[in-house]
Amino acid sequence: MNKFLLTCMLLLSVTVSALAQEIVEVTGVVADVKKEPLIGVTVGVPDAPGLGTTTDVNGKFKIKVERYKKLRFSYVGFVTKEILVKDAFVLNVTLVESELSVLDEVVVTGTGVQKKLTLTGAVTSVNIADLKSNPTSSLSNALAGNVPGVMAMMQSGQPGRNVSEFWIRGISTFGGGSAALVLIDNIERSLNEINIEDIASFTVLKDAAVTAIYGSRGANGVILITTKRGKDGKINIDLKDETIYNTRTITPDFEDGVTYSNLLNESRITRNQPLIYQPEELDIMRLGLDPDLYPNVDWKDLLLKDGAMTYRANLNINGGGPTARYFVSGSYVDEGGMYKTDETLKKDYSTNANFKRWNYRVNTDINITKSTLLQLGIAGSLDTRNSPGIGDNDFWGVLFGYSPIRTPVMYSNGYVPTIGTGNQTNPWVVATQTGFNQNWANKIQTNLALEQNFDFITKGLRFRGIFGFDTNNYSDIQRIKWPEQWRAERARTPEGALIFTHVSNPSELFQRSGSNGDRRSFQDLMFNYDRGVGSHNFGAVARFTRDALIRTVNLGDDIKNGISRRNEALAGRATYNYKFRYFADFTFGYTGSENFATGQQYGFFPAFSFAWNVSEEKFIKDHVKWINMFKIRYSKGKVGNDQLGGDRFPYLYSLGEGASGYQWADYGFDRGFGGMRYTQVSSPYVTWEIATKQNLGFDVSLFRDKINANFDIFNEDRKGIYMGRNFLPGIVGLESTPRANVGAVKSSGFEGRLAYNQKLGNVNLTTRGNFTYSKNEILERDEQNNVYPYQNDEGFRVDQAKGLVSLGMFKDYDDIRNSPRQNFGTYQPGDLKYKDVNGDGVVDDGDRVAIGATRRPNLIYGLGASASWKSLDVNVFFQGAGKSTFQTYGKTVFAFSEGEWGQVMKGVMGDNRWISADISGDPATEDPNASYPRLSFGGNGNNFRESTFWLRNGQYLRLKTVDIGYRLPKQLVNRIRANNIRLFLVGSNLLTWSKFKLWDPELASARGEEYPLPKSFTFGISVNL
Amino acid sequence: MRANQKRDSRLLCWMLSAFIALTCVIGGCKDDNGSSIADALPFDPSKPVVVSNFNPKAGGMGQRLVIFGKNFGNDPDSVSVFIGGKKAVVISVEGESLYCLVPGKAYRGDVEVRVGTNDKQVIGKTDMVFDYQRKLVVSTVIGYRNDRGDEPWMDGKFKDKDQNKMASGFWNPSTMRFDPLNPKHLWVVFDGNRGLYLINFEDSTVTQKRTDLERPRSLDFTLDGKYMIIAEDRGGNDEASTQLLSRENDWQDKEILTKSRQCNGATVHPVNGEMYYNSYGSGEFFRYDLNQYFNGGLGFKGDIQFVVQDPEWEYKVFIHPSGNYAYIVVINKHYILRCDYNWEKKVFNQPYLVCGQLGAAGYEDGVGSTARLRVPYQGVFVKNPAYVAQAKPDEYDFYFTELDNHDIRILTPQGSVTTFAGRGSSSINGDPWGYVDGDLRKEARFDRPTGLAYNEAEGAFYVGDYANRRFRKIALEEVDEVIKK
Repeated sequence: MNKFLLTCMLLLSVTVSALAQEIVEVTGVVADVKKEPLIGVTVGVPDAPGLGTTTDVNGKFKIKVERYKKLRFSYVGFVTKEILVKDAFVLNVTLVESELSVLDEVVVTGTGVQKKLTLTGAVTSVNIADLKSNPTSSLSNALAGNVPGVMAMMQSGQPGRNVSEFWIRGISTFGGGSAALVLIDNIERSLNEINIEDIASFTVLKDAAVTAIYGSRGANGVILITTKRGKDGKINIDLKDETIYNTRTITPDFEDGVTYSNLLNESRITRNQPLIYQPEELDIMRLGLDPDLYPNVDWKDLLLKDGAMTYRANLNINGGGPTARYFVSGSYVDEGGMYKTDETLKKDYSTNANFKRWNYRVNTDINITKSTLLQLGIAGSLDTRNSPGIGDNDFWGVLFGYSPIRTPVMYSNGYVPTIGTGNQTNPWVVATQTGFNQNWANKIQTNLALEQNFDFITKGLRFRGIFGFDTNNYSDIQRIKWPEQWRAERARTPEGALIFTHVSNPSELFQRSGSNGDRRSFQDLMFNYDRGVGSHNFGAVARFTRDALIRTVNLGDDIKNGISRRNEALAGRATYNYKFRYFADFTFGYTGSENFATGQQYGFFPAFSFAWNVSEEKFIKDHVKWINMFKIRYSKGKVGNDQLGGDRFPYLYSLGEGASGYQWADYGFDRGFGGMRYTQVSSPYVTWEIATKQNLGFDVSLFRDKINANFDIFNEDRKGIYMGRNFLPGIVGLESTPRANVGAVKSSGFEGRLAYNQKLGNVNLTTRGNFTYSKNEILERDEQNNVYPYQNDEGFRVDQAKGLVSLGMFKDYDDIRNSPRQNFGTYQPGDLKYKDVNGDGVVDDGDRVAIGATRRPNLIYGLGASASWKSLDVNVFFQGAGKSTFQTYGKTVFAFSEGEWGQVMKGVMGDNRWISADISGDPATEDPNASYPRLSFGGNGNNFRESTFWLRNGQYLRLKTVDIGYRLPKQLVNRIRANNIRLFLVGSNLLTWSKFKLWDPELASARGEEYPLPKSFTFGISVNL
Repeated sequence: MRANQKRDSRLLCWMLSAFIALTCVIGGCKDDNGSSIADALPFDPSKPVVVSNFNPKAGGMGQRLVIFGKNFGNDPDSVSVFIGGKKAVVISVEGESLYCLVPGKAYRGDVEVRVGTNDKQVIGKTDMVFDYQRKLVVSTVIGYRNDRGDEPWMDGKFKDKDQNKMASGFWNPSTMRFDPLNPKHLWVVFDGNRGLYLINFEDSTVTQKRTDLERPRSLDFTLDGKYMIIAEDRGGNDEASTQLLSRENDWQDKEILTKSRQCNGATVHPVNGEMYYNSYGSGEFFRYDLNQYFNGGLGFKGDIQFVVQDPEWEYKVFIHPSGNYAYIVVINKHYILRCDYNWEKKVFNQPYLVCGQLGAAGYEDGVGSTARLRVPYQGVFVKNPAYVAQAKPDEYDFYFTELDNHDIRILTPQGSVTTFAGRGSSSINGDPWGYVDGDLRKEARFDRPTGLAYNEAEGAFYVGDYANRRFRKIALEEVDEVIKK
C-alpha cells in the first residue's frame, strides 16, 4: 500500500525542484489548543506537491525538507498553518479549530461565486451531505424536504425509472412545461445521471433577481450544480462502498382466491345476476381439489422478491500543485430489481428490473500563466436498464389484473396458461418467459473553461469563457419471445379431461431495437468586474451565451428534426453596496429562441433587487451583539419560459391535400383535382410566457451562528401561457387550432429554513427544518364558457381535482324516490348518492365542482436532526407533504369494474362495505355511510366516477432517513495510512404516517399499478486516504 | 513494533475485504416459495373410509361433486367412486375430500367410495342419497378436437381409445338429413368439403361415400326414398344446382337435375313431391316438378315463384310435414319468413315475416319481429305432444340452429322464439360459445352449430357443431336399467 501510494505520488507530482539546496530533517509534534496530539495531520510543502507526511498516533511527524521552504500543516476542521523552516528543526505546532462563520460562506450563482452576505436574491445553497443518504441512483429523489423551495413527487420505484419530477416553488403554469432549468457546470444537463460524490455545490435560484439573467428560460427556477475540482496539496483519495438492501414501503396486497370468488359472486347476486362460482366450486377451490381449473395463486408472492440488493461504490482522487490540479472520480451503482426470475434462465439472461450505471469524471485545472487558468472537465456515464420482455410496460397492470383463480401458473400437463395475449397474459409469463429488454444511455460531457484575470489592466476585472460539448445517445433492444399458450375451459369433458383452447403459438426469441441521440454545444463568455472604493463597492457582469441542441439519431424525414434548438442570450448585472450594509442590484437578460418568428424571438427581462444588512448598522453592532447577521432582501423582475411542450416553429403553417376540389371535365369524363388546405394555420405571434416575480426575504443568524434562519415570501404573475385555442367560434372558419399566449396564473407562497446548532459537552447537536408552501390560481385560460362558473378552470388551482360531492349511499328505495334523479345509469340502495349542487333536480355532470386540492402537494416540509459524540454520529430526517388530494380509480379500486379482470386489493373496501341484508342476513350491513358501495360486476356508471367518495388525502409524513455513523479510532486507521474510516448504517423510508394506506402516498399514481417505492437499509464504509 | 503494525494493518485490510465480501453474499441469497396447501396423508388400509357429506345434494350427469369424509388418501388412481352404482370420474383426492364428476344414469343416487387396490379395498358409504335428476342433456357423439386444432378429416369410429381410429374433421358448416328409409343412417354434407358422409348408427362409424361434390349446401330425398337430391352452390347459370343420386347404385351415380347459379338448398315437398330451391345471386325461389321429371322428363330450369326481397339473399327452405307452408330461413339477413302453400295452384304464396328482423342480428327471445336471430342455419320440424293433446291444428314446432348465436332455438306456430339449447355455463366466461356438455341451458355450449337433424323414434336431435368439429346429441338421458325403489 505504501509503495503504491508512493508511486502514485511520484507519478502525479508535477513540479520537481531542480535546485539543489541544503536538506534538513524536521521533526515535531502537532497538537490542538488543549495539547491533545492530533493524529493524521497532513504535513506538506506548498510548492512541492507529492512531498509530505502525516502525523502518527502520538501526533509526531518527521519530514526531510529544503531549508527556507515553508511547511504546511493542514487538518480537517482546523485552520491551516504554515511555518518557514529556518533555524529550528524541531517544531511543536499548535493548530486552532476553524470556525467558519456564516459571513464567510459563499454561494454559486449564475454570475459566478459570490459571498452569501452580498446576495440580494432568493438563493438556497444545499448542503450536499444532506443529500447523500438517498438510496436510489437519481439525485432528484433526494430533493423533497431537503431543499427549501423544491417540491417533488416520485414517479416509480423501478430502478432506472425511479426519478422524481420536481418543481421550484410549486407549479405556476399549465402551458408547455413547468420543469426547472438544470445547469451542471453551467451547461444544461440532466440531474439524474450525476454522481452525488462529484458535486461540489448545489444551488437553487428562485426569484427574478437571480434568474433574470436566464431570461426566457428561467421562469421555472434554476438549479446550478458545480462539480468538484482538485485542491493544491497532497493526494487525497476517497473511497465509499455501500451495500443497500431495498424492500418496499407499501406493496398493495390482494385477496386470496376464496375471498375473491365470494366477493365476485356477491357482485353478481346483489345485482340479480347469476352466480359465477357454484357452492361446490368454492369447495373445490378451498380444498385445492382442482388446481387446474380452480387454482389459488398468490401472484404477488410468485412475482416479487421480498427485497433486492443495491451496490454502490465510488472512488475519488484529487490533488495537485500550484500549476495544475486534478479531480478524478469513478463510480458504479447496481440497483437490483425486485422481480423474481426463472432459475432455468439464470445462465442465459436476466428478466429482472435491474439498473446499472458507471460514471467517471475528470476535472483538470491548469495555471497557464499566473493569471490564466484553464479548466477541462470530462464526464461520462453508461446506463443499462434491464426489464422483462413484455413486462416492462405490462408487469404491474397484469399483476393487478390477473386474479388468483383465473389460471394456475402451469397446467398439470405442462401447458402454459393464459387468458389472453398482450396485457392479459399470465403474469409469470409476462415477468419471466417473454425475453428481456435493455435500455442503454451513454453520455459524454465535456467542458473547457478559460479564466483570465485582468488585474493588470484594471483591478477587479476577470474574464471567463466556456465551451461545452455533450453527446447523449440512447438505445433500446427488446429481445422478445413467448411460449405456446393455452386456456382451459372451466368445465371438463365427461371423462374428466381438460378442454383447452389454443390462445397463441409460440414465438422464438426475436429482436426489435430503437435508438435516439442528441448533442449539445454551448458557449459562454463572461466578464466580471469588482472594485471597492472606500466604502463603496461596485460590481458588474456581462455575459453572452449560446446553446444548441440537435437530434443526432432517428431524424426521419421531417426536416424540422434536423434543425437544432438554439438559444442565445446577452445578460448582465450591476451591483453596488455601501459598506456591505446597503445593497442594490440590477440584472437583465436579453435572450432569444429560434423557435419563434422573427420579431418575436428576443426579449428583455430586467430585475432589480435591494438588500439591507441591518446587522452592519452601528446600533446593532454595538448594542445587539447576539445578532451576527440580519438581512432584509426584496426583488422584483421579469423572467420568461419558452418551453412549448416540444412544439416546433408554431409560426409556420402546414399545407396538405384533402380539401374538396373541382371537376374540370365535361360530364362523363374525369378531370377532378383535389384542393389544398391549411392542415395547421400559422401562429406568428407566439412567444414565451412572462413571469413577474416578487420576493421578500429575511436572512438571520443569531448567537454566534447558533441559530440560522431564512424566510421568503414570494408571488408571481404568469402571463401569456402557451396553449392551443380550442374554443374559437366556428364562424372564424379555421380547420385547425392556432396557438397563442393566452393563459394567466397567479401564484404565491412562502418558504423557510431554520437551523439550530448547539454543543452540549462532547455532543454536537444540529436541528434543521424547512418548508415550502405555494398556491396558485388560474386567472385566464382558453376554455369553453360554462353555464356554471364553478365548472371553469379559471379561479381554481392548476390541475384542481373536480368531481361530484358524495352524500354516502342510498338508504332504500324511498330514499331514491325522494332524491334528485341521477343520470349516470341505474342505481339501487347501496349505490352512491350525490349532491345536486346546482339544485336543478337532476344530478349530472353539471354538479361537478372543485373538490379537494391537487395531486401535487402544495406544502412540502422536512425536519432533521444530527448529533455527533466523539466518533459516533446520528442523523435523523423526516419529510412530509401536505395539502394533496387525488382521485383513485382503476380495476383494483373499482372492484370487478372490468369483470373478472382485476384483483381485489386488500383494504380497498374498508371495513364495512355495503352488503344487502338478503346476502348478509343482517340489516345493519345496509349502512348508508358504509366504506364501499354495493358491489357491481362489469362496471357501474353511477358509482365509479370522480367524486369525493374516491378522493383520497395525499398528505404524509415519513421518517425519510436515519443515518448512524462510526469513525474508526485514529490510531487504528493511521496504521493503514488512512486518514479517516467511517462505517455507517442508513435506513430510509422506514416509517410513514398517512391517511392513505393502499399504496405509497408519495407515488404519483391514481391506480397504484406502479413499482412501489423502496424502503432501504444501507451498510457502508467510507475511507479517506 | 513495526511487524506488529504491519499485522494490524493487514488485519484491517482483511476485515474490510471480508466486509465487502459479506455484503455481496447477502445479495446472493435466494428465497424459495413453498406450496400453501398441506399435502394430504396417504391412505391407511387399517382405518375405515368414512363418507360424511357431499356437495351439492342434487344434480345431473357431469355435475361436479365434492365428497367429504376421512381416509381417502392422496392418489386418485386408487380411489373409485360409485354413484347409483355407476363409476364416477375422480379428478382429485385430498385426504378428507375428493372431487369427482357425477356419472350418467346414476338414478339410484347412493354414494360409495372405494379406496385401495382391487384386492384390498376399503369401502365407505353414506346413508345420504344424491338426488340424481334425469333430463335432456347435450352430449358428444362423434369427433374430437385436439389441442392445437389440426386433427385431419378422417373416416372412422365414433369413439375409440386410439384417437387415430376415431372419425374426425368436420371443419365446415354442415347440413344433414336422416335417411327416410333407414333411421340409423344420417347423411351429411359440408359446405366447403367435397364429400358426402354417412353417419351410420348401426356400427357407429363415419364413412365418406363420395368425394366429388362442389360446395354441397343441402341434401334431401324424393318421396319414395329412391333418390337423394344434393344442392350445390356454383357460380355459373349453366352449372348444376341440384344433383340426383340413386339408392340402387348405392349413391355412386350422379345426374344433373337443374342448372342455376348459387343454390343454397333444395327441398322436396313432403306431400306432392315437388322440389323447391333457390338462387342466392338474384334471390329467386324456384319450383321444379319432380313428378313430371320422373314421368317424362323436364328441362334443367325450374319455374320462378317469386323473388325473396333482393339479390344476394342466402336462404334455405324447410317445408312443414303437412305441406301447408314453408319457412324460408334467411341465413345472411337474420330472419325467417313463412309462405303458405296454395293447394289449388300448387304454388307457394308470397312470403311474410314470422320472426326476427331483416338485417338486425342479435340474440333476443320474443315473439315475431321482437325476436332477434343471428345467422340461423338449418331447421327441422318436431312434433310437440302437447299440441297433439290439445288437438291444435299445427302440431309441430320448428327447431333451428344459429351459427353465430351458438344455440338451437324453437319457433312455435304462433311465432314465438325461445332458446332450446346452448349458451350455458355463463359462469365460465362471458362468451356464449364453447364446448360444454350437460344441461341444455345451464351448462351446454356450442361453437357455431349448423346442421340439425331429428330422430323421431329416438326423440333425439343431432347437431353438426362445426367450430367444435364434433357431432353433438340432444336427448333425454338414457335408461338402461330398471330404477329400483
